[in-house]
Amino acid sequence: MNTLRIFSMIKNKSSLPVKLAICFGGLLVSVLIGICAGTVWISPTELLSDLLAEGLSQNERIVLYIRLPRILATVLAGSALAVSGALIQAVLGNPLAAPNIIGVNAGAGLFTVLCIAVFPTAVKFLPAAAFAGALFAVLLVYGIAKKTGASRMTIVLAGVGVSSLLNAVIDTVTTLYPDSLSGISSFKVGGVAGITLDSLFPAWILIGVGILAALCFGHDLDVLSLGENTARSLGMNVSVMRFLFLAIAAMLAGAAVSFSGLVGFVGLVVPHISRKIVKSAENTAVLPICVLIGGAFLTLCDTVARTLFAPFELPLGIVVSYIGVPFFIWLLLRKRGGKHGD
Amino acid sequence: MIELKHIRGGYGKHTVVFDVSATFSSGEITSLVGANGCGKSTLLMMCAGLLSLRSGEVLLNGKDISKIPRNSLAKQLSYLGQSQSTSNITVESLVSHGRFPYLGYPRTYSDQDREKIHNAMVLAGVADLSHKLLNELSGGQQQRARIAMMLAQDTEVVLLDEPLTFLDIRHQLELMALILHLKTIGKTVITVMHDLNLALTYSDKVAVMEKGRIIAFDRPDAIVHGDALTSSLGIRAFYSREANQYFFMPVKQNEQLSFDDITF
Repeated sequence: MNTLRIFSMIKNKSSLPVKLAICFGGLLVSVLIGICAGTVWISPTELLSDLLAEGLSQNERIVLYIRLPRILATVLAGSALAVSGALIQAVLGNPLAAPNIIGVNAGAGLFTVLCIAVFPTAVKFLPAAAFAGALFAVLLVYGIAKKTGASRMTIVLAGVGVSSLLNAVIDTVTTLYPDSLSGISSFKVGGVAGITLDSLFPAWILIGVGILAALCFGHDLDVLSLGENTARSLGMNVSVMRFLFLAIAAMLAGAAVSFSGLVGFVGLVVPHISRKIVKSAENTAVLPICVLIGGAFLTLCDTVARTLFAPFELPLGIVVSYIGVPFFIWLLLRKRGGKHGD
Repeated sequence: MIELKHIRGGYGKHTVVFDVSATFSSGEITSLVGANGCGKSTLLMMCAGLLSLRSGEVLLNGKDISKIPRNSLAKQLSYLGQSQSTSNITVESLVSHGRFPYLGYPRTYSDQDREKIHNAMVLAGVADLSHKLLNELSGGQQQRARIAMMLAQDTEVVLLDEPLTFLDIRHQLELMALILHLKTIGKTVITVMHDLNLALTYSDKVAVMEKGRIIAFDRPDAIVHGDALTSSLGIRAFYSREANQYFFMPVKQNEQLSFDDITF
C-alpha cells in the first residue's frame, strides 16, 4: 500500500467526523440564537448571570416556558422530517420524493385532524394517529407504484395525487367539524407557536427511536439503494427492508406532524443539502448530517418567524419556504465539480 | 453446479422462458447467446432466484434455490445485472457492499472482508479509483467497479448479464481474462453475451436461445458447425478458428430493406 493511498484513506475517513462536528456546531449556534432572539433580546451573558442568581427571573421564565419548548420542537421536527425525507428518497429511488410531496404529511395530518374531530380529548394519541396516517399514505403510494410497475416520475405523480386527495379530505373534515378544529389553518401551514414540553410527549420518543433505527440500518439502506435485483442478490430481504424503512419514515413524519403541523419542504431540501455536504449519496453519512442540518434549519426558520415582524409572528411553514427555496436553488445552480450527490 | 429442470417463467401474463432444461457444470464458463428478446436475461434472473418460476425448478448443487435462504444463497451465487443506475457512492463503498451477505449486526467489516474488498478492486482494475465517486467515472469504469463488487462477494457461482457493456476492446479482453481466472479457481460462470467471437473463444459451453427456449447447448466447435446460432440470430455467417480463437463473421444481407414507405 503506497503512501498516497494511505493519505487518501486518512483524508477520506477524517472528513466525515469533521463535517459532523461542523454541523453539530451549526445546530448549537442555531439553538443559541433561538434562545437569545425574540420579542425580547436576551444576551448569553445576561442569561448566564440570571441562571447563577437565585430565583426564577423574567428572562429565565421566557426561555424555559416559551423558547426552549419551541426550540426542542423545531429540532425534533426538523431532524425527523429530514431523516424521513432521506429514507423515502432512498427507498423509492427518487430524489423528488419527500414526506410532504408524496402525501405522507397529508396522511399524518388527516388522521390527526380526524382524531381531534372524533376524539377531542385523546390528545395523547395524536402521534399514534399521525403515524398510522403517514404509514397509510406511504403504503398507498408504494402500493400504486408496485402494482403499476411505475417509473420514478410516476411514483411522484401518484404521491402528488394521493397528497391532494388527502388534503381534500382534511378540508372536508374541517368543514364538518369547524368548532373542534379552530386552529386548523396554522396546523396546515405548520408551526410550533404555544407549544409546551408536555405536548411533545410521546412524539419525542417516537422520533428518538426512529432516528436511532434509521442510523442503525444506514448500511442496509445503502445496499437497498443499489436497486432491487442487486440488493436481493446480495442476500437482502428487499420487501421486509423496504417496509421497515417506510415504516420508520412514516413514524418520523407522523410524530413531527402531530405537534408541528404540515411543515413542508424540510424533508425534500435537507437530504439534498446533506448529500451536497457529504459529497456522496452514502446514507450512513447522509443520515446523521440530516439529523443535525434538519434540526438547525427548522430552528433558524422558527427564530426568523417569531422575530422578523415581532411581536407579530409569521407561520413557520411560510418562512421555511422563503429561506429554503432560494438556498436550495442556489445550491442546484452552484453545481461545483459535477454531479455530487445527485 | 446449476441444474434447470423444465423451468418456465416471465413477467406478468407474458411468458418469456418455456420449458428450459440444462446443466451448467462446476468450473465451466457457459455463455448464453441469441437474438434480442429471446429470454437470455430472463433465464439468468431465474437462475439467480430473482424471478419466480411458473413451473420447474432450479437446483444449486442439488438443492432447490427457492428453498435456500436468501442470505445463504448470496454466499454461493452472485449476479451482475445489466447496467443499472447506481447511487452516487465511492467505488470502495460499492465494492464493500459485496461483503454484505457476510456481515452481521452491527455492519462492521473484518480484516478478511477488507482484504477481499481490496483484492477484488485490484482484480477488476479499480484499486486506483477506490475513492472516486461513481458519477465521476466513465461507463466502463463503473462497470468494472460493479464487477469488483461481485468479486468481493466471492461466490461459487457467478452470473453475469452482458458484462462487456460499456467496456472498450482492451477492457473487454481484460474482463474475459478475469472470467478465465475465475474458472481456474473453480468458479462456475454463466454469462449473457452479445459478442459471439469472445463468447465462442472463452466459453466451455454455449447455450443458444431462440424464442424462450435453448435450441442448442454444446461446446463452441459443435455450435459453430451447427446452424442453431445463425438460425437464432436470423443471419448467415462465416467462421474460422486460429490459435484457439474463433472469428465469427456475419454476411451482409443480400435483400435490401425497403425504407421507401417510411417518411420522416
